[in-house]
Amino acid sequence: MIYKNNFHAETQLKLSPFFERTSKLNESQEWRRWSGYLSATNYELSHENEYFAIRTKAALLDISPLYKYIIEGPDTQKYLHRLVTRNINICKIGQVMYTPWCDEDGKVIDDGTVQRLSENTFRITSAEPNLEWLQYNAMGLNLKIKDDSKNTAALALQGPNSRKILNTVAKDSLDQLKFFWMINTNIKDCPVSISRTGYTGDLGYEIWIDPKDALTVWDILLEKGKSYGITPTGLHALDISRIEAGLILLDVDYISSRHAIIESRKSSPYELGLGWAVKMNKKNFIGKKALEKELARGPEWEFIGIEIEWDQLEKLYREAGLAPGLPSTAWRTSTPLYYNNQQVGYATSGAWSPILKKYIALGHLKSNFAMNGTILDFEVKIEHFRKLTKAKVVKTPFFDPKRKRSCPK
Amino acid sequence: MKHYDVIVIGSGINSLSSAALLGKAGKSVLVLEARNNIGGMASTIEFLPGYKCNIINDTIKWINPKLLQELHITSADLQIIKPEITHIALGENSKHIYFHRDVKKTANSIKNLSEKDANNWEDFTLYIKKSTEFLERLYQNTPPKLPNINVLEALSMKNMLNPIIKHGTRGIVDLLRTTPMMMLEMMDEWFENDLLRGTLSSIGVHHSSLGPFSASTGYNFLHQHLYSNGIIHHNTFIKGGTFKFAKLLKTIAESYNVEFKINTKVKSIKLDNEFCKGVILENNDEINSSIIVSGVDPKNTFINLVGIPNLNPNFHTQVRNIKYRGSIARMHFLLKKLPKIHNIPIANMDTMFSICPNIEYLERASDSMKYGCLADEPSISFCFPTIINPDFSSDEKHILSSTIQYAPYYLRNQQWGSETNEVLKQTVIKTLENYIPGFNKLIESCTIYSPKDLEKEFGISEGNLNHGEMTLDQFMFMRPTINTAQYKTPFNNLYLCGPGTHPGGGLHGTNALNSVKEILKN
Repeated sequence: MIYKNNFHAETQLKLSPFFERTSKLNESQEWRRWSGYLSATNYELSHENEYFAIRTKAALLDISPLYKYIIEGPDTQKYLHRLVTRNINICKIGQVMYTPWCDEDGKVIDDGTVQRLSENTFRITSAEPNLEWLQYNAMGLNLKIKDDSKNTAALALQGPNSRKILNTVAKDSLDQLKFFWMINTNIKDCPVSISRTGYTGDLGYEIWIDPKDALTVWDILLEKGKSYGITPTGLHALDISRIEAGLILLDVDYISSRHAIIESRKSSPYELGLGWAVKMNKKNFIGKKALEKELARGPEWEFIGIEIEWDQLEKLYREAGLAPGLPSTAWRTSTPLYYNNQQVGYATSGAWSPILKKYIALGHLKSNFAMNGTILDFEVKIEHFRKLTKAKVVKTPFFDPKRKRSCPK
Repeated sequence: MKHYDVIVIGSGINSLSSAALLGKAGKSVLVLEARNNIGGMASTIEFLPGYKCNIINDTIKWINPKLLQELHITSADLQIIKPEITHIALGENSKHIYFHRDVKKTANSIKNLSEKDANNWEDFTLYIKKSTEFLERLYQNTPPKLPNINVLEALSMKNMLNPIIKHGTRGIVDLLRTTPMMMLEMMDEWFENDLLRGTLSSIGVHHSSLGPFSASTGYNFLHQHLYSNGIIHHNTFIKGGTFKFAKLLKTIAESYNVEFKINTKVKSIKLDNEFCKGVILENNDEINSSIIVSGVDPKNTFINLVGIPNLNPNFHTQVRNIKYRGSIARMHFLLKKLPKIHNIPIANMDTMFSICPNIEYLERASDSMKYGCLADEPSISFCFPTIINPDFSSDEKHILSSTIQYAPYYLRNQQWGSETNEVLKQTVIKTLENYIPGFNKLIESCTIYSPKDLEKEFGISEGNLNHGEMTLDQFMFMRPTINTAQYKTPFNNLYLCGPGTHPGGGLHGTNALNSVKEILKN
């Protein structure tokens, strides 16, 4: 074969279709790199207000950097049913399913949502590029896979007021739109689809938009949402709320099996608390055989939530002559968890939850210790010295308001 | 609809052997063949009205003696012609080398070219014989499943003890040296004469895409000499053509009530959650069976019949990575009369000939493989089937059947077609003309099978006659893939028996013997 140079390098970070607006609103000018895009970490100097917008008002997040794939063709349902662990055969048009997908050894490659747009058209979102894996497993099937990442702009509108705002701008009412369902509607003559999904564990929606309509939709949302307290929100606030919601993050809480350089870095869905999303009654899906075996012997690890107890933490700081120090933003450093002086796990992300007034974290724990109520020792560094402080295994989500799933009467 | 114990897909030597052996074991067996006759690569056909030839294989290098024994085949059933002169390597200025069944006579023939080589000859034959004795044993075994070999598998390899004891550590070392070796190095160790080095190297690259400067051609050299008792260039013919062997196997199978259906192409294998239930034919008829044995190559079996959507990703990758790389073309010339070869008496023309004057010539020919073009000076082996089987011609006309190496399946910037066939034909005529003066004028017609034609006609991927290259990375427990080397597949009740499995290509039936052993175990 003659070598063709198909390689294109992007020498600069990509700009989202909303950058025209977000760049001007971002007072702090703090940005993080997300999938090659410039993405605001916090619009104000501190993310606190944005966090409370998620929990008490409405937060508007630019989530365009998500990877999005459109899969279309007569074999799509059959294909996705085999690719992911959830049962796609029961996914109705307009329904959305959160699911992980695994390699043949039952180790998670990525997780995201599968949206059924029509009988034979699905959209799948992911944290990392997945086109190669998607295409490789589609060989011989009658379907087309399109990397739609650049062709669809996306916003997340999250918070208790999000429905009210959308009801004022969208052509159709969202009152009856159930959790993990979506509708096609218009916002100011721009066709959009709105799914009742999100990454905050609150009432919230994600809006899928043609990039050319991006600014129109942004503007009307900010205008009409003003009286509801709509707040452009960055990744810092999102990170705290997703920990409160007990939602995992690729490359932080787990490593894709496609990148793990050693076996022990890979995780099965059972080890990530996603056992509920693995449907063993399916005839076959990629990784099923391995997962059957794992289920039979029991997973080695479990994914758990912990609460770091206040009294002892305060005492340790007092001994150092300090007021209790708490993380102002979410952290993502692997932190050891001990039981009887023996390391039995590690926390992968944690934050002070402003709404719960608790120091919480997510982590991996050897299965024998992963019962709710188990008291562990959590490693903290106080004034350069490593100390142990008590932490309790609790069930996640830490924060789970009724409004997340309910519809108005 | 009748339910069979076993459906065998394909009817080459291994498929027929499997059918016969399974029939003998009391199974109800149905053989499905897509072509209009059985035989596969052992086909002998009337390629022109009144003239017959072996389409692919003129000679049989070896047949597994155990197969003949199990199916009670005697020399009366299968008449094997063993010419005293097994091969003639054509040399320049009429200085040819005659390979005899008698090692001393061969040495004598070599003596005209090199006294030193003649002195080495007998030692060389013993050295090759020694190494092939290991392979003969190894080929009887189902390869172990790696990486965790269990005790039973280890015990099943105990038959290797015999040659190990007989030849000692030195024998093992020689085997381990020879198999990964390139023919060039092997020749450097033994011989100096160009013609001898060339003609021996052509065995190492037999039906392969590799050139003699490529590693593991030494292994292919050994593979061609199993059960040859140290006779190098071990060519035997079958009275009536290679098809007679296939026909005999069919007759034996039928005596065990095996049924045959020709002109019946399988479209797909019916799967229910990794269990094979039967086959679906091209006319959408379904035939059910408890077991399916596939004699077609791994690509056809898994990609085309099982279907990619049913392959798990790792296995799919393994199947896609099997190297085929068809590299030879076949050409049959109908000649007005028997030609005269430089300095070869007519009495000696009932054998195989080769044109490969030196090892560099062969390596240059193999360059065409790398660059996707036709070799300007190909290595050619040929014979006159009408001399070996006089009834192949209805009159005084004769046939010359030739194998041309190298003719790559993938051509660069062009496609196989009448144009390329014509170029290839002219190259072959020009080459033959050097040894058979006036050859061009004798040609009445010519039939060409390019690798593309072989693929189309016989369904062999990329026209590879071994159902996958015979290289060390596709050897034993890695043939056809590391997950399917035990004749079993990831699909319950689906087995492989073709040359794509251990121990590889040839009309020897060993693959079938081992495969049936595994099938009957379960």
